[in-house]
Amino acid sequence: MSEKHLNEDMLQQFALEPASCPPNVIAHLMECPECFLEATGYHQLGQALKEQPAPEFGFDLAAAVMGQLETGQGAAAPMEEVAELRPEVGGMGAPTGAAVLETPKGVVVTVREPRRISRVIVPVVIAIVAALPAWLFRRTAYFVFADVSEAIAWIILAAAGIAVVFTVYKYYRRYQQVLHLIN
Amino acid sequence: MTTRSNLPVNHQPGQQSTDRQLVELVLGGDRQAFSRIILATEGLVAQIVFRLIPNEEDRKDVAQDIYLKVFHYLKGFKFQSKLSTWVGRIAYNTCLNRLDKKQPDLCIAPAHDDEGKEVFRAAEETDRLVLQKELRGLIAREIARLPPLYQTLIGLYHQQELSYQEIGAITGLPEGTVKSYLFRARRILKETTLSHYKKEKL
Repeated sequence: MSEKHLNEDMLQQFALEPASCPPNVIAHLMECPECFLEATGYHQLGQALKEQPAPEFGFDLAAAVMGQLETGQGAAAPMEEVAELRPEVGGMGAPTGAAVLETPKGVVVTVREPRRISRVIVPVVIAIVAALPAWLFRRTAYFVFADVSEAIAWIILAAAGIAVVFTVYKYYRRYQQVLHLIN
Repeated sequence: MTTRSNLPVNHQPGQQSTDRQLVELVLGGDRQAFSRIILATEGLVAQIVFRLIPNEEDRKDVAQDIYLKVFHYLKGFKFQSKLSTWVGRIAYNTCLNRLDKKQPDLCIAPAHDDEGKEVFRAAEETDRLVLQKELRGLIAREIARLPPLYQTLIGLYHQQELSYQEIGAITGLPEGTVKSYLFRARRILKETTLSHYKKEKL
C-alpha cells in the first residue's frame, strides 16, 4: 500500500463512479481505513444529493404554454438561444473544446468557455484580419477618402470605432456574467 | 457514467415513439404532442431555472418563455442531440440572458435559499429524525449557498442523472470543466457539512 493518501478527486471518483476507478486506487482504499472513511463520506453525500427534493414549478406549465400558443402570444426567440447542437463538431459528441452550435437557419455559432488564452488570441486575430485588407487596399482607400471631406472621414472612423467598442463591451459583459455564475 | 439515461425525451411507460416521431407530430399540427414534450422535459428545465433564477415570478415567465422558444424553433431541430438536451440548452441560455437583462438579480442572493432553509428548518424541528434525513436537510441548505452554476451542475448530474457530456452540451462548458466544477462543488459541500457537525459537537 502506498504511504500517500488519495487526493479528493480520487476519493470522489471511487465513491461516485467506482466503475471508472483505476485498480491502484481501489487497492489503496481496501487497505487504508482513513481514505475509505473519507470515500464513505462522499458516498453518503452522493446519496443525499440524489435524494434531494427535485424542484417543481408550482403551476401547470404545459397548460400555460399551450394557452399562450392557442392565443398566439408566443414571441420569437433570439437565434443564439435556440442553437442546434452538432455532435460531430464539438457539440454533444466532442470530449474537449468548444460547443459548436448551428442555428435553425444554418448559421454556425461557436460557444466557448472564456479562457485566458482565447482572450489574447481572439482580439489579436480580429485585429490582423481587420488590418490586413486595410493595408492591402491602402492606396485605394486613400483615393476614396481623398475626395471625402475630413469631417465625413472622421465620422466614418468614429462610427467604426464605436462599433468595435460596443462589440468588445458585449463580449466582456458575457465573460463577466459567466465568471459571476462560477464564483 | 454507465448508468446515465439515454432514453428519448418521451420515455413514459407505454410510449414507444422517439424524439423524431414526437417532433414530427408537433410539426404536423398535433399540439398534444407538444404537451408531452413539456411534461417529459419539465423536470430538467426546472432544475436549470430554479438554480439560476432566484425570483419566483421570474421563474414562471422564464419557464413559459423557454417552451415558446422550443415550439417556435422546433422545425430547426436537427436531431443531432437528444431533444431534452436541446431543450435544456435553450433553458440554460434563456436563463443566462434573463440574468443579463436583470442585473440587480444576478444571483447574488442564492437561488433556492428559502426552500433550503425550509428543508433545514424542518430538519431542525424534527430533531429526532434519523441521521440521513438530517444530512439531507443540511445539504439542501448548503447547496443553496453554492454559486448558481455549481447548483445547476449538481442538480443536472445528481438529480437528473445526466452524463458529463450532456451537461457540457447544455451549459456549453467542456466536459473536463463540468467534471472539475462538480468535484469542487462536492468538496465544498463535504467540508461545510463536516464543519457543521464539528460545531455541533463542540
